[in-house]
Amino acid sequence: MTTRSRLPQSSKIAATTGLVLLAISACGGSSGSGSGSTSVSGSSTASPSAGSSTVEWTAAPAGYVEAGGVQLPSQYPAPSKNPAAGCKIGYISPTNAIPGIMAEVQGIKNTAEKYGCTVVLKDGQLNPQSQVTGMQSLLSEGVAAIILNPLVVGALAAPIQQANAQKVPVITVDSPASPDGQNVAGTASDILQSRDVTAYAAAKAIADTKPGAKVGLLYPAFPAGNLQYQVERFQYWAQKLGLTVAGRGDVANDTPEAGSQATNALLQKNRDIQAIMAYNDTAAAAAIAAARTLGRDDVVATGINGEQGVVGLVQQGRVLMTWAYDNVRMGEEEGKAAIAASVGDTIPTKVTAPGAIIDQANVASYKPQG
Amino acid sequence: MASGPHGGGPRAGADGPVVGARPLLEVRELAKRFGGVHALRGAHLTIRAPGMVHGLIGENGSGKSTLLGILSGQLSPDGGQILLDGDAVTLTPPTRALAHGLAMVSQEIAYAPELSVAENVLMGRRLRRSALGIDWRASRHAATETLARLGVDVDVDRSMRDLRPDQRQMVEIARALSMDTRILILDEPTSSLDKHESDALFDVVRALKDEGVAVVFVSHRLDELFELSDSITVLRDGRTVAEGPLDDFTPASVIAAMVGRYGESPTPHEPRRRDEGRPAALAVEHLSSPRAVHDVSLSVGRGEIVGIAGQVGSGRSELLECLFGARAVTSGEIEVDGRRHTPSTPLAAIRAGLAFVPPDRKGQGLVLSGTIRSNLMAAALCNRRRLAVPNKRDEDEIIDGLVRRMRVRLHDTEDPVSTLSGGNQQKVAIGKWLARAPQVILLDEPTRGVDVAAKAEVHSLLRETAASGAALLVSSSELPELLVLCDRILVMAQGRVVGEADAADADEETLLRYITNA
Amino acid sequence: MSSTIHVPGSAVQRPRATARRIWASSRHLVPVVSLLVLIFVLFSVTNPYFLSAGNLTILLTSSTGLWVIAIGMTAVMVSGAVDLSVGALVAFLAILFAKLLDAGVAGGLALVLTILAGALIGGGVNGLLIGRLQLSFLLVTMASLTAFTGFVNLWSETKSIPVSSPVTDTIAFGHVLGVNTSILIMAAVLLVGLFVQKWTYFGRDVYAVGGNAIAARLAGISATRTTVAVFAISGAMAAVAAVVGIGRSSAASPTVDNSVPLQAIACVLLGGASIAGGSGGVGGTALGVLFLSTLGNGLSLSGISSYWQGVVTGVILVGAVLLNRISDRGLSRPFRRANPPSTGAAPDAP
Repeated sequence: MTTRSRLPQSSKIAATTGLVLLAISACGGSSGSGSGSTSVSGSSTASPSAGSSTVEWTAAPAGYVEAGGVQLPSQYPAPSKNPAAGCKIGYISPTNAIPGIMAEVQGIKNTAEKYGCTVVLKDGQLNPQSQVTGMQSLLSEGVAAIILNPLVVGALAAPIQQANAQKVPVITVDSPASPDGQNVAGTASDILQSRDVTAYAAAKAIADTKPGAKVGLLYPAFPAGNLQYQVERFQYWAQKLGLTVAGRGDVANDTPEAGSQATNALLQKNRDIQAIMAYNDTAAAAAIAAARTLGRDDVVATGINGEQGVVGLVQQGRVLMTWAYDNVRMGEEEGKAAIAASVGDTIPTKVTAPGAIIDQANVASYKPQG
Repeated sequence: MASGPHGGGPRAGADGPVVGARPLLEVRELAKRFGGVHALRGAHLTIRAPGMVHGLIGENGSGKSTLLGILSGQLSPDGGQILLDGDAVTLTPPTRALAHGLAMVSQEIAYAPELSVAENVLMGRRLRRSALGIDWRASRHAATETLARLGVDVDVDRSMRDLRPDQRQMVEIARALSMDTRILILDEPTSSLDKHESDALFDVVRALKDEGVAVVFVSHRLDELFELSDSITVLRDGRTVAEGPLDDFTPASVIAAMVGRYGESPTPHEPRRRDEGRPAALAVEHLSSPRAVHDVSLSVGRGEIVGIAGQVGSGRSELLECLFGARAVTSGEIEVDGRRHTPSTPLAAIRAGLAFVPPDRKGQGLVLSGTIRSNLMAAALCNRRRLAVPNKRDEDEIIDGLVRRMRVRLHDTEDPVSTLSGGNQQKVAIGKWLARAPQVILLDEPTRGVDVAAKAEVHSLLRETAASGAALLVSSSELPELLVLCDRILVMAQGRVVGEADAADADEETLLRYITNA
Repeated sequence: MSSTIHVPGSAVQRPRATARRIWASSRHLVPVVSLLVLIFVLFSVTNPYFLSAGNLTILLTSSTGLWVIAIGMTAVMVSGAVDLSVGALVAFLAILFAKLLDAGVAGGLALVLTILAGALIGGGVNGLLIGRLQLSFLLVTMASLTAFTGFVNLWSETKSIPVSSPVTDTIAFGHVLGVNTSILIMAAVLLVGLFVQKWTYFGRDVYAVGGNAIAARLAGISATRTTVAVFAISGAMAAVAAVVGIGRSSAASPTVDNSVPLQAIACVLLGGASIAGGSGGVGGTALGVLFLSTLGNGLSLSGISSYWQGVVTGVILVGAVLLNRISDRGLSRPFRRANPPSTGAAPDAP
């Protein structure tokens, strides 16, 4: 879930806000739990059949593994024993100001309480230095394990070493974001935000409705490694599923205006683009707005986040699908990983958090978390 | 009512000269405090009738500005009464003072530089309007008319910043007039005008008199007061110490009232003879700067004080700027003590031994927010390395020496320089250069805005400095000052030197002839 | 009787006075207009899609928000202040609008209420603190920026709110007589701004207060009322921008974009205003917005990497500022330090 965005303008406030936007784009979520009809499946999937109106939470939608996607477990084993009394689990956020984070923390707390632990939250404030200080502070407080969502992995090398020396296991969140990337040195496990799965789902949605269509990709032209990875996977899966990638539009910063400009450029140069794959819901909505202004009501888009704000566009069918995150669930898994590692269990090195495809068929029963 | 030192103050109440049953303006026992400072404690002022010019004079610190602030509605008094036509009135906020017919043209020229003359004259609700909105044509017409009443002929579409200072002054007066003013307060209106323009202003004031407008004329120049006023009020230490018709006063009695004792009229000093053996301290040959100075040559010897007279705009200020490196020079040569000097920047000029006291001490000569200490040291430090640590003891010595030499009246050198009176500020502005023992000191309007007593002190300070070997070049619009201070006086007009005279042989008339014939 | 004293100055010139006046008052626009024309021609020539109706429409409609905010900012800057809080206020008012709709208020009424709220908040908070208590505008608007952002997060729980309303849909995508509604809004705001600026007392008050606050006060203009009013205008414009933004994305977003006030300030400055106040105008500002918008659009079409776009934009902005200075000071010495102002005008030759 690590994202950073730096806007071309030099204002520090603007940069901070941009980062908030980015982080929001990376995960939406609320303090409430998921909808009543959630079901978490393991590596096998329940395919959302046409006409179904339930929201299916899955780590691998139909056809993903068959098409060559990496199969990863979607949950950690429960800890084999209880940790010492009074144990503390530390969590370092990129920033607390994203709704998804608080939902995630709630999930960690859910798990922690079951094992008699408390959660200590450190705010990264979108500042790598704050994360370093936060980690050092957690270590001096004597936490049993640390869950870390790093802004800049390199900056945290030293504290991670320190944690290793103190035998405190470190669990990373979405870092690396790719299922076959190498975990950060010194960390016990990485829980991914299923970006590769999301890319597959988006490409599949387009391929199902407009087979062989030409698509345009919106590319975040600001420092946001995970989102850029996301777009690379868009490209991979689009081509794999028979779509043609006609072009890439650079989005200067994470605002609707920049998304609009980029879409405009894409559509002007490639009149036959029929779908736009966007790295978050804001960009998807901006793409639709630009297309409509140009009179291209036929263009559709896909988004990510499951934001409340995009629900309307999904209902109209202009946004084919968005990928919703279950942050509470992710937090619960993180908690399990942390506690299990702290009592010496062996845990899988990579786990992918489940999400849900929200499209026109099931959006009515979807309760957005953000 | 206080009476002047030579008797003949006005008698209180109904015995005084009565033009109408009730005086137009009567200010009684006005008091105003700022924290612990009593700016006014018992100030009186009476204007008997419309169409009179009432002079107001007082040293800096006498409470003049506070009194004016109250009369214009910017300040509200703590005690006392203001009566217009016999009725007590409150003058705050300024809109109410304006509604009562009291308008002030302040010393700090208050105009909006980017807006047109018309808009500055008619600022606010006096712009003409029609049903569709502001009627610019009618507004321009109204502004032109108001200016014509003053005999001023200026294109009302020009923006204010393109006008000369005297023209701007006229626009401000026009603005006050456009508000149906009954009492116009002019605060030091001639401070940036030369003789010719001041005369024009006086004609305007007389014209206003004829129209029935009363004028409160504030000036520290006795000659102006005596030329123009019908009656005078003298302030000292927040009180009115003398008031009455002009005939009750002489210049000496006014000064005496102001300072509380008799002062001496300044005597011209003995002119110095040029030290023939040495090269001149400052030699200028064929100096030119575009649109400012043309082919000026002059020389100043060690210990000599040379003055430059001329109208505002004659190039005398610009000449000094050129010598000091603040204005680009296109041709000519300058030698300081025989050495060639290329004035590229002020820093180069300072290193060559020049010093410059600019005409606007608040804006150019001092750092008002700084302490007295830091201002006094300002020039002395320009040769030190920027990262060097200041040596307090050395500085203390220099500062004490300067304060003593300049006879600055102050409490503490750490006080902000803005707390000093105008005269003492000017002493600091001059004094800071003496720490460097410069060879040539350039001064522009050295006693502008300085009261009579401090003026004499500054003059004697300058003479002392010259006596110790410095060469002084003084540009001033006050001819009496030049005659008293200088050994030789040059006259400039339109960027050239058009005349020269020894101070001993010249008088105001001679100089004026040079000036007006150019 | 007063004799006419001739104070030397230029005589009033009757012939061609009107033409000269118009030229004098629009001289400062020459730099931005010439730059605009330059890049317009450049992009038209190098890019076949630039001049298409669709692209030009996008060029305009994607800058509707900045346009109205910059026009509101013009009023604030002419009066001598700056409103840094407008970005946060946009987000706040967007959430307000969405919540009103959720509560069942009709679209049109919600629009009016939001604009009123913007005016009240802008004038009541920023305007009063700066105008009445005379606090520094930098401090106040930065503080209100933070407060508004906090309120936005609290109220929206940092979630965006979907909005589907015919009102917002029409504003964003509708047409009236073949012209995009957004463009009509831009034109309307500009025209009203031009009228107020030149032909109402209030407009001239703003210039007076910005030109010299003391003179304005002595002329009977209430600086407090003027300040409250200009910040109220800024708030109202934030409301318009918020609703337009909602229309475009079909949702009210709680994200605060604090680069918006900075961009608006740049546009106002490009249009000839000065940070000190007292000059500038909405016409120039509109040209400034057009310039920035054209630049962004053309660059994005050109396919130049987005990273280079930032550099190019920065360089061109510096060029625009230099051009402004050259037009002020003449071509011979744009880079020299200025001479001190002459006390008079001694002519060059006898």
